[in-house]
Amino acid sequence: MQGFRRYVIRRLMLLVFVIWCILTIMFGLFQLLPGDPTSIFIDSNFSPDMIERQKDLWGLNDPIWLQYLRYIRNMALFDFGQSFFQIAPVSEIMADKVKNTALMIVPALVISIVLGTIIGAIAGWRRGSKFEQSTVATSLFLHSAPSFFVGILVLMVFSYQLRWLPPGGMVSLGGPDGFWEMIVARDYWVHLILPGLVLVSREITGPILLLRSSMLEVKGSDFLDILRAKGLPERQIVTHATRNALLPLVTYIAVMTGLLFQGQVLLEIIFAWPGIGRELVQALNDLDYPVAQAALYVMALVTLALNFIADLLYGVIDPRVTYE
Amino acid sequence: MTHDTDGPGRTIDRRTLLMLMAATGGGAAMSGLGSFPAFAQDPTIELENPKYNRLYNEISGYYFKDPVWVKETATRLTWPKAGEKVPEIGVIIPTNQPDILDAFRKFATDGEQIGIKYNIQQMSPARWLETINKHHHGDIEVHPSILRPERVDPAEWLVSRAYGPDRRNYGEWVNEQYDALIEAQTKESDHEKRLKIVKDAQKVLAEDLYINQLGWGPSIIEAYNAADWEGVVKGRGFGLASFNLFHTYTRMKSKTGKKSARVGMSALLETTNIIAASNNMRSVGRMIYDRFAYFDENLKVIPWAIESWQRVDERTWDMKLRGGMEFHDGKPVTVHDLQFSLDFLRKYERGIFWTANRFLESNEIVDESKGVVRVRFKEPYGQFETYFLQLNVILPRHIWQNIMAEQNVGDDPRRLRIEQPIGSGPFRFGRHRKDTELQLIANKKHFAAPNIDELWVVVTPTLDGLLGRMESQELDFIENSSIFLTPSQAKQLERAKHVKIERTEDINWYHGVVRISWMPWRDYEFRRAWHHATDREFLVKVPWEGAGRVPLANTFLVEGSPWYNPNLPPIPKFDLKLAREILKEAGYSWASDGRLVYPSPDDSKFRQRIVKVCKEGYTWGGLKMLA
Repeated sequence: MQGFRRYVIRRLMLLVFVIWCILTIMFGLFQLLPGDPTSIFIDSNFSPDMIERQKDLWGLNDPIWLQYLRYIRNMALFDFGQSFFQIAPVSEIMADKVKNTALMIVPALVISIVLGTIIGAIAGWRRGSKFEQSTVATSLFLHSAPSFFVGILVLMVFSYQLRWLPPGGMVSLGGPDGFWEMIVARDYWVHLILPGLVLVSREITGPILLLRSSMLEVKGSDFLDILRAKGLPERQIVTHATRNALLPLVTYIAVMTGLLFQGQVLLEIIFAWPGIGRELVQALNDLDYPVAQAALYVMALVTLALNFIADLLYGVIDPRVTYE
Repeated sequence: MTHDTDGPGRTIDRRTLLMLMAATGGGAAMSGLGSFPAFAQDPTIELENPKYNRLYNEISGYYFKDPVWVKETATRLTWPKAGEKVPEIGVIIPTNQPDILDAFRKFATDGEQIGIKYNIQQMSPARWLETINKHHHGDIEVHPSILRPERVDPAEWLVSRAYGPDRRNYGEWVNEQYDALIEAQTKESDHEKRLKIVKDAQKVLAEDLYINQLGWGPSIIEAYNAADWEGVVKGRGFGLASFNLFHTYTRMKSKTGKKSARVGMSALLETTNIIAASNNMRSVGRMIYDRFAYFDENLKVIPWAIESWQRVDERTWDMKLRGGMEFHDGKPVTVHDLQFSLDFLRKYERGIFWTANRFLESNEIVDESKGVVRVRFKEPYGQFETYFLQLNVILPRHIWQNIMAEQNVGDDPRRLRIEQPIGSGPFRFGRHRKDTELQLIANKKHFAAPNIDELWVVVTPTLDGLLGRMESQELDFIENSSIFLTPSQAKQLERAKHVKIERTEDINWYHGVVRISWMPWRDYEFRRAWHHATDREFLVKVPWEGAGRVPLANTFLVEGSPWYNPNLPPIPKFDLKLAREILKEAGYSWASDGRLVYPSPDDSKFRQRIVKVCKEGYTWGGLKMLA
């Protein structure tokens, strides 16, 4: 237990250091970006006095070290300041967008992991079967298909042509708004079908292929022979094998979730889903630096946090892992 | 006027230094420091007319106070040596304008035939905007017109794009006769007299070959759901589905009993504070807050919240508030609201309202019972109907009078958070989910009450999404700040039975403004040749698929605008042979690699043209060549 505690503290310190590095790099990048944050905001009709006042207000006339210290403090306190254009605290905007992105990816993630694990395990267990061959071929095909293309395709077929499903948005016009109100509403789930389908079609391939490979390794293990010798039915043996094959998936899920969280820009645009990816792109286009910085920071934090959790879970899941 | 090397040297900060070093390889940035003598070689740039000193010296980081600008400009104000080639022509095109990129690729190919080499770069729209604002865009600034009601007024473009002392005069053209006309038209309150001055100014602009109108267009082609709606209003220059000229949404009628219409937009409101709005809230906001006057579909000024107005003298007007108006919360609109609005918008000068009110000196209620307010301007004012009345809106005093203190925003109304805007306009602000939807509920008590009950604005970020939703009848209209259809898109949409395609007379343009203060553009003959080397027909016929017009003249106020001058010199025809002859005649020659070579430095006619910049008969007041 002592070792575990020391390990957690060490990991936490490393986490803080990595966050500081990320923040510093982000600050440097935004400083070096070819662009003046005021130029996009300041109307060309502004008088010079007004321009100077606006720059003062944003602290852009302060020395760079002061801007840096203020920035680190604010980021540490999750005080992202005000959006240049939206006249709202960035933290408020982020909270809304993170929630929306989560509403898109979490259901898809759960389905992808559960189904992917089952299909991958079966495929690995039945090596050489038609099921395995078709699973691998389909997975590779889906993995290679660009999601924006698949997204446009399903929209054209199911929304524009057949008109079976809504063409985008999280709910219908005037539909439920609050978080809880939304997730219990049928309307939300109907709107989730198409983006969810596209996401699952791609994300499920990771667990399938990983589990299959992992299963192939586990399949030759001695402990399975012991289980067979004990007379356990095939289903239970597969279950035991799957549990052992799951280990690499834990890390993969952490990484996959982080990437999923960051990588839905195109889907959010195609399906008019107001998530954090779309917000980041819009902020970068508009040179709305506070929003862009906050979005990148939140994305980085999510990835780091998930990796941290995965590291800890490893020890919990696999008794062979020690922290001494 | 001298460029004070101490100025930029002392004011440069480290961030600028880093950016400059990255952008220029270090020299320019170092020269800005002043403490590095090896780099402290900023040249002395002067102006012909000291009247313009203020602009070039007034803002830190711009013109003489911008080391990058100084470095780039000084290079182009240096007399060419014998046999020196004409430098590459730099053009920056925003990535969202592929049609113009295509056009410039063609211009570049044609340019090679007369020895002109282009350097075309693409940039994101935000970066492009920043680059042109700092005048770092190279030789040619390209720009589309985006029409808003206040831009029907001739001063909007004539001033912003060509008036010597304006920062948005990206080519730094300083024609003293033109500037005098611009100043005169701003102060001329008699419409006929102003029209004459505006026409004269256009003539100077066209004759001096400063701007190059590349195409008049693109045409306004729109699709709407004609199975459900009729009575749409096609506003000249705006089309039928514009929120800037929203008559369709107040007058259209349902064919099927539907009371709710859906309008697609690629982006919605960035803020609901009309004073902070730099984008769609400008137009949507004026559906919620009543403007003073408006345009009808033929661009004739019509009364709106101000029922009538009376010119008292060249600086003074009496405005009569329309009676019986109500705010959306049921409170009556009174003359005190009108007075308060003007006081508020004038006191807190910001952005778009500031431009409308900076000339305003005072306003007073002269007859409360009749709702008459007298406005007085600081000087004679020519833009009363087409600018002042179009931009200003009526704010409810009972909501706004203490709002600055309540929200603790100091003197910056841009920081106000207005969650639920309340105005007196034809639509009430309904449900709003940012980046998703906006409900505008009809104000049935309004003097221009909509026939429909509500309008839903639906955010659809992609063009494919907008077209797909129109095809599947999810949308009834597409707000045209998001898109004008190309003929091929229109043809595709027309296959859907419910869709009707409409084309509206446009007054759009797309132009290129040359950096006339720089070599080689200072040479009128070079400009003339370049105009003949511009294939405008290509832009109209190929990238625009024929949906546009080949310009008739080099003016911002194109045929169809109420301010158009039909007697302008015709636009130079595309003729590469003639362009080559003009250059040859002017003393230019060609190097063995085909590149154009400046005339000899001893050529007195050439030197005279470069010093004069303007066409014969006009006076140049801008940057001088370096000694």
